[in-house]
Amino acid sequence: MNIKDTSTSLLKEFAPQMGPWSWKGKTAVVILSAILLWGLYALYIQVFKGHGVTGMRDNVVWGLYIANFVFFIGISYAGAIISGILHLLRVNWRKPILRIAELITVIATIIGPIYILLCVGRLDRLHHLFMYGRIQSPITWDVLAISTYLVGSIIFLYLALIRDFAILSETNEIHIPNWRRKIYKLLSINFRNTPEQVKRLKLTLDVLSAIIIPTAIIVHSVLSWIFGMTLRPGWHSTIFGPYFVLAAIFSGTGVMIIVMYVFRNIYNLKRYLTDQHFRYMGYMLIVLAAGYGYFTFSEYLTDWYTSEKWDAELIDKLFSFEHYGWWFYFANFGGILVPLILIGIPKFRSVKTIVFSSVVLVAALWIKRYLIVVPTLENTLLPMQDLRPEYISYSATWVEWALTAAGVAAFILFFILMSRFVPIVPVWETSEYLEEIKLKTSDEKVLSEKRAREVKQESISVSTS
Amino acid sequence: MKTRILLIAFLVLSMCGITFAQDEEKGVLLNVVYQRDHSAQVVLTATIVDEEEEEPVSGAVIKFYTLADSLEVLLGAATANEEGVAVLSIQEDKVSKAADGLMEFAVRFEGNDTFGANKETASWKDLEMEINFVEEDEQRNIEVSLMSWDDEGNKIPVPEMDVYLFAPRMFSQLPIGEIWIEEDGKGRVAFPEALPGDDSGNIQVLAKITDSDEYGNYASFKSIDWGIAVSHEAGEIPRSLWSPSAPIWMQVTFIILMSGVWYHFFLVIYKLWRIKDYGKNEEKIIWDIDK
Repeated sequence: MNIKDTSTSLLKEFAPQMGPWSWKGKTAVVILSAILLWGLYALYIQVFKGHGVTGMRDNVVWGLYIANFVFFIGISYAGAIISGILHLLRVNWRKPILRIAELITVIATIIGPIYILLCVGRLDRLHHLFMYGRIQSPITWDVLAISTYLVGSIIFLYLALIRDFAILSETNEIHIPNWRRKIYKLLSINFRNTPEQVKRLKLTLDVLSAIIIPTAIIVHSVLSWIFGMTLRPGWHSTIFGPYFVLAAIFSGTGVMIIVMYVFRNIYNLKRYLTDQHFRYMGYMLIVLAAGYGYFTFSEYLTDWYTSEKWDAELIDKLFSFEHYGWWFYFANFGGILVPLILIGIPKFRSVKTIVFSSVVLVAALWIKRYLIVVPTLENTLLPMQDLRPEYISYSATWVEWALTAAGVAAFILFFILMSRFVPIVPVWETSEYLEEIKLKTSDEKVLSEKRAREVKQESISVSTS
Repeated sequence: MKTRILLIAFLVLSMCGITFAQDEEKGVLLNVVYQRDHSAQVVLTATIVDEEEEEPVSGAVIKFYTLADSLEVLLGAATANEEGVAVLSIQEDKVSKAADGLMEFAVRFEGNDTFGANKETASWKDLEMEINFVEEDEQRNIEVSLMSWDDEGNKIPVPEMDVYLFAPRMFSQLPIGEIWIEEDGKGRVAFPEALPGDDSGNIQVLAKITDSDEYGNYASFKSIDWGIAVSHEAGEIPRSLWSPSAPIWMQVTFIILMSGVWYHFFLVIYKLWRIKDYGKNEEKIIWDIDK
């Protein structure tokens, strides 16, 4: 294998994305920064005027922020699944899409918990959670699980980056400023591809892949248990753990496909992020959509059939077009049926329909998180005095929308900045992948030539005899 | 001369304006309700509405008076809420009573820029309610007697009156019976069976007279240990947030999970350290390793 040559040619191809900014890039950064600043202004208003500027009240204490939190933690699953499981299964086609998956994990795991901080009041008492936290509280489990997951994801991303850092610190094929080269060198921790280094790096990647998968499952299960262990209609469900985990993998895969499509078009990466990648990811979506659909049906069927007073009230509200009907049908039918039909039927299947399905399902799953959080809280269980509509019904204010938009903008901005710092397609792994394909192709060619010769000889001997 | 004419014209117009303004003032309707609650507090509730549109007059200051020998003695003032209701709560002994228990009240609204002043008077008689728990032939009964006073201050029974009985619960008052007061001023009803009480079986019985033209609203209560004793002490719930510590199995699971994961993180960091050491003698990447 000639990995050096392939790496060099890949680096040359990826150089433009790490070079000077294009006008489109600059425009995108300016727009995203403006949205981020808008969010910061909203945060300033919220800190100085208090949570009264949000739509949250004593009754509906969670709103957009918690829906965003669950959503971002959900999409962070892309990294754990694509990198972790596919790494352990030694699936080769994963290599070009590894970095996108790992970046989604880290960025989403950083942004998600920020929404918790936005939701709670008295941030000056945040350290009490660590000082006086009770192990028997699901909130404490959540804090510890997410921080553990974040540390694991950062280490995982870093492990996968080491070899590219080594190449970038050494290469003279593309122009890299000295300050940046120094950072690459520092981060490459003397990686020189010695047999011992390769052996240990592979071992650590295997160990972390095996650890990151259960950690990711625990994180989302714990998150679901915050709801599931509360005696509330729509929340108190035994299947919430696996339901949340499945929904998280589903939405994470959807976001992964969207990001792949965007970068493929921006940086012209069709050779590396191939149609085959989209097709395989599309197949994953079909399986996930079917599983998610099954869980959704099971969840609502049992609630509807028992017709327990509070559950029945909630179900009525969710199914009624006067309340949440449109959102509910879009989230639970659109998000499941669109991928199943567009990707499942070969006639409709293409990169564009796979991406379109992903956009639909990601939107549907964000709405689904909102529908899990808000309608349940709008159902008052205890008698309330002074029942003003704004106390019972939740309506997000501009402050919450601004901070939601800022979260999405921060996610995209982080991605753009990271793609400027390291190639969005891993250079070393992709070189290995391409060399393996080359080798396989040449082996197959040799084999087919050999077979052709044998057939020819057989036919000659038959005709002679 | 011209100035004087203008001045006179201005004064005339101003006076007309005042007259017109006075003419524009709207009338109000006042209504007052008397309530003597079970804690011996007198609660006077006045309602003020626009006479023409019958809309509540919020923000109006209502003054409450008790009449003693035809003299008005101020009890207090309250501001009407959005529904035009002003409530004054006072101790019973501040209210003037005649020998026969008659209490006269006046409520006054002194007017504002929009509404004119108004006054309303009302009177109610005081009464004495006694609640007794009587057990006869293994039958438990609640007996209520009502007494009032004649002109000379002698006690007389209050006949023909409905008394409603309740047992206060956490969020509401549970109706437990209704008594018709006979000519002798007494009435009786069976005590309900299997009524849960506190951990000693105590039950508070609240007796109420409501919307009586003569006596207004009156309430009194008395406790008895005829209920079923229910222990409200919560047993130990190890998983509860207020319990001193988490269950052992939870602590063990937590420690195993967290230490298992973090052990591997530290192992990986250690391996990274070793990777750094293994590469310190090499200048360049060794590319032909995979050949």
